[in-house]
Amino acid sequence: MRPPPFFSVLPLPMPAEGRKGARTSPSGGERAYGLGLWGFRILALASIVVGLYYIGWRYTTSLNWDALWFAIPLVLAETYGIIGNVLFAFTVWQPARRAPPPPLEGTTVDVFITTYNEPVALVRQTAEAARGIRWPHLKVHILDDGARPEVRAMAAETGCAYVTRGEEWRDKPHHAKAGNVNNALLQASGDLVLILDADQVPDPRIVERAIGYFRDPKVAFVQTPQQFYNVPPGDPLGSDAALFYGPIQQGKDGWNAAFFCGTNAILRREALLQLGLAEYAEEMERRVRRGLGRMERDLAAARAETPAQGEALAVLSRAVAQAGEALEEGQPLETVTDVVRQAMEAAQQRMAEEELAAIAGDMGAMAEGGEEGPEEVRRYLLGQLAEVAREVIDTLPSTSAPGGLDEQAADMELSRADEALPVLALPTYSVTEDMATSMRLHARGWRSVFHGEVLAQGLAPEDLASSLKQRLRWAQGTIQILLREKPLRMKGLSFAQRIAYLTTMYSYFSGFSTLLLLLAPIVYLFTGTAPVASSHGALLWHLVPALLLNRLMFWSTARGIRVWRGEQYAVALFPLWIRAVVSVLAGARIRFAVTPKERQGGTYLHLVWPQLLVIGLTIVAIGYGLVSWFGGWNHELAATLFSTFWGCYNIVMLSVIVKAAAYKPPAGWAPQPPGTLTASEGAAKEQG
Amino acid sequence: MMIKTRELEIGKESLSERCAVLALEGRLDALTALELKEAIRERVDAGQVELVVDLSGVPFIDSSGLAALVSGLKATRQAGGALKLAGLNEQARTVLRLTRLDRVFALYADRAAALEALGER
Repeated sequence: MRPPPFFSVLPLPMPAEGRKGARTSPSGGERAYGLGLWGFRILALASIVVGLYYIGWRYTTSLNWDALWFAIPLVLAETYGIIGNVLFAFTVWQPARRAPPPPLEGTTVDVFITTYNEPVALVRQTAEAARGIRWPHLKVHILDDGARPEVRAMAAETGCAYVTRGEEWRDKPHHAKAGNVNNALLQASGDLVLILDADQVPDPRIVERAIGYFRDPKVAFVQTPQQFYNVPPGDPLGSDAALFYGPIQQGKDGWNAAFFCGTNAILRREALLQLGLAEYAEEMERRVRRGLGRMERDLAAARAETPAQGEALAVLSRAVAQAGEALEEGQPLETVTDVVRQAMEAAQQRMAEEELAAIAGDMGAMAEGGEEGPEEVRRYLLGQLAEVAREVIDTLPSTSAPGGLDEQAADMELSRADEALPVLALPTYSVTEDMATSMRLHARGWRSVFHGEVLAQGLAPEDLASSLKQRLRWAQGTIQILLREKPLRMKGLSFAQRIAYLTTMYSYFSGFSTLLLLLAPIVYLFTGTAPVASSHGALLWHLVPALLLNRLMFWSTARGIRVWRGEQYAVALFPLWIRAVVSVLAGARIRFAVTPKERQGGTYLHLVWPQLLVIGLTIVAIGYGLVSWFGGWNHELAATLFSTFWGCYNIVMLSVIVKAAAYKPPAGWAPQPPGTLTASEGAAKEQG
Repeated sequence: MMIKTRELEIGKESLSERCAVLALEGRLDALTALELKEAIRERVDAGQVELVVDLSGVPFIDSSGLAALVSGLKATRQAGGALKLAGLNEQARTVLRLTRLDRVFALYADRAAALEALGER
C-alpha cells in the first residue's frame, strides 16, 4: 500500500509510508520491538516530550521576527513533522500479536482474480497457483474486465470460472476494479472471498493459515502482506514496503484499524454485502430528500397556463408536502415515493385529458362543415377520454412531467438508474476503494486482522513512470477518502481508529513541508537570512535531542527492516505528494489506471525536473555560501556549515529518484517467478 | 458456516396482466438469490411489473437475498411498477433493520395487505 510517514523532526525532512511490497515477518508482533515493547514506548514518549519542547521553543523563543516571511513557513513545516511524530507513535503504540487460530472447517471460499489487460501467461500463473490452494471448498473465478476470449479459454483450461460484466453494465460506468469485484460478488455464493490481483501468485496455504480468524463472527477481513518477486537488487524504485506491511499494519491492527489493501486479503462476503445494502439505503434516502426539495422549489416557481395544468400543479404540491411529512415521520421510502408517483400519474392524466378534449373541440369545428370523420373522432374521444388519455399519455409532448419535473421523478425511482447495480459493496467513488471499504466496515462495528505472513507474491512496477503513476493514484485516492469519509467525524469509529486513519491521510500532505525544508538552506545560503533567531549552542541543544530521539524511536519500530530507501522516496517524491493534494482539492477527476506489470522502456529525467532543479539550486547555493564566507561578506561560519550539511543531506535524499529515472536493470538480471512456495520453505521464511 | 444445500421453491401466481404474486418456500441466501432475481426478471419481461413477494415461507434471509430483492425493486419500478414484501418473520426484519433496508421497503403483514397496497396505486 501506501505512504504514511515515519516522521522525523526538523530539518531532516520526513518520509512517507510506503504502500508496497514487504519482506516481512510472520504473524504479528511476537517478535516485539528491538528494545521490547516498553523500551519502544519509553523512547516514543521521550521523543514526543522532547519534540514538543523543541517546537515550543521554536515558537516562543527562537522565531526570527525580522524575517517572518521565512521564519513562519519553516516553523509550520516543522510543526507538521512534530504532529506526524505524535501520530506515528500513537499508531504503533500497541501492535497486535497474532497467532492464527485453527482453520474454520466447512467454510466455502471464492477466489477472485481480477484482471483487465495483463498478459494471459501472467494471469494463468496466478490461476494455476490459486487452483493449488489447499482448501476443500474452494472455487476460483477469473474476473476479466477485458472480456478477452483468450482469457476465457485459459479459465476453462485451468478449471476456473470466468466472469465478465453482463448486459446491465452497457452504457453504465464500470468503476474499474471495484466494479469488477462488485459484479462478481453478486454472482458468487461462498462465505468468504479471497481477492488477488492478476499478478499475485498465492501460496497453497493462504486460506488455511488465515481462515481461522473468521471464527470470530465479527471479523470482516484478514489482510496479508504484499511482496514483490521482481524487485531488482538495491530496490532502485523503492518498491519494498516492509515497514508498512509490518510494524505499521500491526500497529493499526492493535487498534482494530488494519486496512484492506485491495489484494491478498480474505473478506467476509456477508459483511461486504451488508455494507453495500446500507449504502444503497442511505443513498436512496438522500436522493428522495433531494428530489422532494427540488420539486417543491420547481412547483413554487411553475405557472399554470391552462386549467388542467393548474389542477396538476395543485395535486403535485399537495403530494410533495404529504410525502415530505411521511419522510419525516420515518415512513419507508417506498411509501413516500409512491405518494409522489401517484400524484404524477394523476397530473399527467388530467393534462392528457385536457389536450384530448381540445382536439375533440377542433374536430367539432371541422364537423360543422358536415364531415362525418371528424365527428366520429370527436365522439370517440369524448366518450372514452380517460382511457384514451391513459393510452397516449407517454406520447403527448405536453404531458411530460408538469413543471419540468422529469429529473426529480428519477430520484423517486429507488432504482439508481445511473448505475448498473443498485448495491455497490465496494465504494466506487475513489480509486482506492479498499481503504474506504475498511473504514466503512470499521464504522459498522466489524473487526479486521492483519496477518503478517507473506502468503502471495506479485509484481511491482519496473520503471519510474509506472511507479510514479501508481503512487500518485494511491495518494489521490487517500486524500479523496479523507475529504469524503471524514475519519474524525464518521459515526461508529473508535477514537483510536479515527487517529489511525487520520495518520495515513495526514502523511500524504508531507509534500508542502518537505518543499520548505528543502528550500530553507538554499534561502539561507543566498540571503544570509536565518529563520531561527538563537545562538548556535541553543539551537543544537534543542534540536539534536529531538532529532536523535525521533530516529531512535523510528529505528526501534522498524526493528531491522531496511527503511532508508523508503525514507529517501518519501522526501524525493515531494512534487508528487503536492500534485496529489492540489489535484484532489481542485476537484480533478481521477481515473483508475491499471499499473503496467512490464517494464516500459526509456529514461525518465523529464519526470524528475523539480528534484533536479532543487539539487542544482542547492549546489549553487552551497558554492555561493562558501564563497561569501571566504570573501568576507558573511561571518556566520557555523550557520553556513550547518546549512551546507543540511543541503548535502537533501541532495542525498533527492538523488535516489534521479538514479531511478536513469535506471537500467543489471545485465543478466531477471525476476524469478515464485513458483509455488512449498510448505517447508514457507515455514523457514516464517522463522527467518 | 456450514455447507449449504439449495432449497428454495418459487410459486408464481398471476393475478392480472400487470400483477403477480411470488410465493417463496425455503432459504433465501447466496445459493438461491439468483433464482429469485431471475424469477422477478421473467415476470417483469412478461409485463407483470406489480409484484408481491410473499416471504412467509422463508425461515432465513441473508444479505445476498436482500440484494436480490433490491434488484427486483429496481426492475419493477423502472418499468413503472412496484414490488411489495409480505409476511416477513423476525429474522428477516432484523436483517432489514441491520442493513437499513427497513428505510426503503414497506413491509406488509401478509399477502392480502400487500395486494391492497398495490391496489391503491
